[in-house]
Amino acid sequence: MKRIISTITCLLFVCLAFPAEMHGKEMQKDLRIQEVFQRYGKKKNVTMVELSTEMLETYGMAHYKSIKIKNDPDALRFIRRCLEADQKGARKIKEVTDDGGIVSAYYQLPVVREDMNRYILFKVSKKGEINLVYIEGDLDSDDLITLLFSGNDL
Amino acid sequence: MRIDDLLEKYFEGETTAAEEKELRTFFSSGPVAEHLAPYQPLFAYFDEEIARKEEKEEAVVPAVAERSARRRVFYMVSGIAASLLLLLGIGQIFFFEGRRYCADNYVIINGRCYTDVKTIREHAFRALEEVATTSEELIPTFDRDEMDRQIIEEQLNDLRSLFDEEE
Repeated sequence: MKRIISTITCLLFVCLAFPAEMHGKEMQKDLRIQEVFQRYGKKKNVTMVELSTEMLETYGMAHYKSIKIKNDPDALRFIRRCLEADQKGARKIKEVTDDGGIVSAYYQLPVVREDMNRYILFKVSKKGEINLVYIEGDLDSDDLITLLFSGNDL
Repeated sequence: MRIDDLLEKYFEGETTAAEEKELRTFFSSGPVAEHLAPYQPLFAYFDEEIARKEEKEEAVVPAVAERSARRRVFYMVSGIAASLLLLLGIGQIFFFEGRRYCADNYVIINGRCYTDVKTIREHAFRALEEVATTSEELIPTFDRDEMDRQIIEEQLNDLRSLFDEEE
């Protein structure tokens, strides 16, 4: 009987342990903006993109994630709170604020792994359209700026 | 006499089980008539054999009962395990597969997941484009005019100084 129970326990453990996600997207787990993607990603008037293939290698990226939210003041407040938390210790490549808070920002996050830079890009348009982008890869800030203003397709 | 008739039937092989039992009971009940005495050991032997068999069967019953109880538990545990595995399998299809389906490269628009590469790239690029600050946004228009004026003035001054030098 003991043998049967231990066999079943092992089987259950194997079944439960293996399907767990084993993607290399662990680096954004320490960030508050992760909650933005989780909370708003599947909502109406929201577009969320995630890329992590060889498609990005040309641009020195390993992982790309973006979210676009149309006219949602609550989401904007939440994102600004998340950005405030995540920008601690980060290098501010650019930050534009007005009375309501951050309007546009590029942050380079502290390095947690060698040759792996992490960036948060944020912008809220005059129409209230929010864009939040998370990028990780070996690209440096100059590469990022070039990519942003060169108009190259991904 | 009934026993004599039964004996005759018995040796002709025509007795029923009840009649044979009656014979056994008769011969085991104690002393019998003299002409029947030779048959007594035979029926006593049968009686003993039957009693022994019954004892054996009685002893076997608990062992069989224990074995079948163990088998029941085994079937029950196996059933539970099979059900759990089935549930996990169904869960894999509906939960984990769903996540894997939209896990690596995707775009979710209004809650709907698309994995078409062209659509994903288009939306990824659009997001980058929208997040990129234009020069108009970096430098307010009035500042730009002022800067233009300054540049023109500087260049004019340079030109003036060149002419002055020539003179």
